[in-house]
Amino acid sequence: MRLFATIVISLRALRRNKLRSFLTALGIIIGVGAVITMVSIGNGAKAQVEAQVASLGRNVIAVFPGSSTGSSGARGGMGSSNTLTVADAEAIKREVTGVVAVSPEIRQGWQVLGNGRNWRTSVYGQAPDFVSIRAWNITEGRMFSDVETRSAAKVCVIGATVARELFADLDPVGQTMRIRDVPFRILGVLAPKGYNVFGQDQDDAVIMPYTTFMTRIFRWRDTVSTILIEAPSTAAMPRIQQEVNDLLQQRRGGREPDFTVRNQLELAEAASATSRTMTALLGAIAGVSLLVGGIGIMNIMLVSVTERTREIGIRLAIGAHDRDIRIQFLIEAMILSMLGGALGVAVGVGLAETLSHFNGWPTLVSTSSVLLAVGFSAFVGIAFGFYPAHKAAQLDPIEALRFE
Amino acid sequence: MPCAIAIMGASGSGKSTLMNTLGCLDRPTSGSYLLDGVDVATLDREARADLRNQKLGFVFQGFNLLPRTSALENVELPMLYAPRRVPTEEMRRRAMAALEIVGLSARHDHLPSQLSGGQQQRVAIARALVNEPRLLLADEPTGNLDSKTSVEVMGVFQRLNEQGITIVMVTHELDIANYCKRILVVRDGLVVRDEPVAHRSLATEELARLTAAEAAAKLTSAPAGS
Repeated sequence: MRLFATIVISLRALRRNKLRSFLTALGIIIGVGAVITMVSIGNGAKAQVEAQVASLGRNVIAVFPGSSTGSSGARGGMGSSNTLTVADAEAIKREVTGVVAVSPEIRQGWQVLGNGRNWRTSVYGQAPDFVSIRAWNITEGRMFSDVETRSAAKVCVIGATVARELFADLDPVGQTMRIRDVPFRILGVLAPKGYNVFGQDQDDAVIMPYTTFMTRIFRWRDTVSTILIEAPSTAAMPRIQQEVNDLLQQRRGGREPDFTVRNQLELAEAASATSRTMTALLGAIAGVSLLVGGIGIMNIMLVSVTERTREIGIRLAIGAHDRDIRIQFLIEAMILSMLGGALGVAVGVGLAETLSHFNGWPTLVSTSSVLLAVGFSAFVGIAFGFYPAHKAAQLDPIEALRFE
Repeated sequence: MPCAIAIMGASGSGKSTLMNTLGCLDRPTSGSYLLDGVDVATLDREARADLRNQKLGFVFQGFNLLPRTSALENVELPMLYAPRRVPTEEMRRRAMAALEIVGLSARHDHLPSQLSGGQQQRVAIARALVNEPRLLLADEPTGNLDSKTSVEVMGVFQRLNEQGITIVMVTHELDIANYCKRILVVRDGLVVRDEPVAHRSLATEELARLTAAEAAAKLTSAPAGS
């Protein structure tokens, strides 16, 4: 086998036509670059969604009220009934083994006042365990305590957005704010958490003890909108979910279940399915450009076979075998596509970096997308190089030498 | 002493077919062609390619050098297709030696576009020689060259012939044919005449004569010019 010599021949042939070689490789450079950039954007978005899902907290199980049928016969879907109670939450904490923390959640949107300004925000009633369940730190001050919860103290912690809107540069800790004409002392500020999976600003919130919420500012309400539960581990989540379900069912006797138990994994799954589809779509579009790049290589190689008919004739006349010609053209196509692939990786990674640097788009270059793009470009080289190479090898040396 | 044959004939007479057959580019449809004792008609495409590579050297009217490729790399080409791999250093050494024979070793790094027609044809001859063939086939080697350069190329052929290489060439010009030892005339696919050259031209003498004539022309024109 004289493969080494053929590689030398191919390299010499490519060197003879530097500009044409570069232009041919350009198709692959753009294709591979596009695949890598697109997939990085998709992966970045996916990672962001996963981070958002993680920001929900650790090992969170949530109980939502179920569908309802009112006394008048009016029916509604999930969340329409107000059937979950603080007693349910206490029962879960007491009876389900392994539960780390429970917080009954109740929520209303209200206009709040402070520092001479007002702001419409979501006001939550929670248990002190809430910060543990949501894995949410307090940057300044402290969370309200169990004692303050039992005594329904008029205290609260606020999210970063509320702190900014009401107090701007002032330190909110120790300040007073009014919610429905009730003065509250601000105990702490929550760490910024950003937007959640649904695009809501999680920092636009005021959190107070649920007891305070239900006895001092929203007196007629005796049910909660959600019960948040923290499981000790991801592995324990299905069991706890089942036990919570059984317990609540038992507490309702024979009645139709009026609640739904969901865990964080289900939410995460739904969210990442969306971004996976997005990544696949972006990748597919970029893949088309890679295919077009491959066709470009075939095009140039075909033109090149015609243009170099005489050269092929000379080579055949002085002793080249058909195989030598075929391998020469195949190697030329492969070198072009692999070189294009390598440059395309550089372009793609560079572009992904630039995008995340200047546009703030999250990007994540994955090894698999790099390997896929480079592998595909090598495949493109062989697949699209084969026909022109075969055509060149079939030439009759006499005809080829006479070709003008 | 190996022979040097000139093939002559009108176009369409079968010269090219004869050359293609001799050059193992084509196989005879009937009859046989023995090259160095081997019946070419029985060989397949690959075997004939190896035969061309090892035993034959080709020189064409249009030089047929690879463009944008240095003289040295052009000469190395047949060795790249040799059945047995030639090491890079040996390839370079042998290519330089072949260029030395045609007097162009100083221009080994020139591209064909930087060489005159005669120099290009000499590079082509060096390429034909580099695998030390038994037979050199030349298809109108002087067809694109002026008369002095033609004589120079014939000089190279005569020297090679003296060193033991058989030369077969196609030409239209009788004075070029006269540098060979035998002339074949082909018509309608048949050899109609085969005779030795009576008064063989010698390229060395002819070159000396041409140089002297040129010098004389310069002497006579110089005073007129000043």
